Amino acid sequence: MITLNELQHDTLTEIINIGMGSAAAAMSIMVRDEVNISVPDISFSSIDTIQDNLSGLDTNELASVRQGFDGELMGDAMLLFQGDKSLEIVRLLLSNTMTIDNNDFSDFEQEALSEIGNIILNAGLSAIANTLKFTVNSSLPIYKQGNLNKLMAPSDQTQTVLILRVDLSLETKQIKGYVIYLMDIQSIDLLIEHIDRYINSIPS
Amino acid sequence: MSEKSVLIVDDSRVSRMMVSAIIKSQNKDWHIEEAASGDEAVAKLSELKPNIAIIDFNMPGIDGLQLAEKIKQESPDTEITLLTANIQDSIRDKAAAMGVAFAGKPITEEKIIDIISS
Repeated sequence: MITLNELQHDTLTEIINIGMGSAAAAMSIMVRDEVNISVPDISFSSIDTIQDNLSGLDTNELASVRQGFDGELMGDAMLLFQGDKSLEIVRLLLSNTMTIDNNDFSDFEQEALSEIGNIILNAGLSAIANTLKFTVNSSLPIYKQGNLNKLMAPSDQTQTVLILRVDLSLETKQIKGYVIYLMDIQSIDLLIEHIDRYINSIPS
Repeated sequence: MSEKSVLIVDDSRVSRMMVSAIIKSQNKDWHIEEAASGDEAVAKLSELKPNIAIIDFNMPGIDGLQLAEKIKQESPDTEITLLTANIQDSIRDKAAAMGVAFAGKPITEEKIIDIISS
């Protein structure tokens, strides 16, 4: 059983907070609205418990952007939000830059949401990497729609993972989403090493 | 501003469209060429020596910095800006060491105007 001591937990929460602050700032620029973020929730558990942690979302109809990362830390980052809000998000992104007929937004749905996910997930990952002073390589974003089981890879189901969950919400648009980072045991050990190094670098 | 040519390289069609739309809104006579990957951009370099190249970092095939290296070889006068969601310090530092400007996504009108004006 993996546990974090109080200082490690506090440090990881703060680093995720910084990452999600960057992600929220990026999303806010894209949708031109205030984005609220929750305090990060950190847990070690099997992935099938995620469903219990997505309050406010119908897990039968989700949209997701998933991006793998490797290098000094390995895992997957996911942006999850309600499937029926996806076109609204695309409209918010594109309507101020381009003239697009309302009926044509669906043509851009997959690509626009992939790019939104790319920006949000990379903002979070980059802030974590910058704070802990390491480099991660991120893969290209993959957009999927469906129920939660469909969105998870089969290999996800059995392993214990570190689940870092933050909810993002655009209150005026009633849009809610979650950012989740999934890391396996090996990567968790590496992350804890990086956190300890970071803590030890703080002048006392 | 006099007529210029711009190469936009990004695997995201939406991003290429947004950058292109902002440039056209400012300079309707500029020649804009798009490529969806670094390799596609390299193929275009034999015909096009752009004044400005705006390139993504994470793309299929060669990445944005590898592409920047090739652009510098083929078209040394091209002003290159890396426009990417990957805003890690390590990527900024590598870009700076190569003399490549850096701008983090999301794309905004202000950022693109700044890139094409500098």
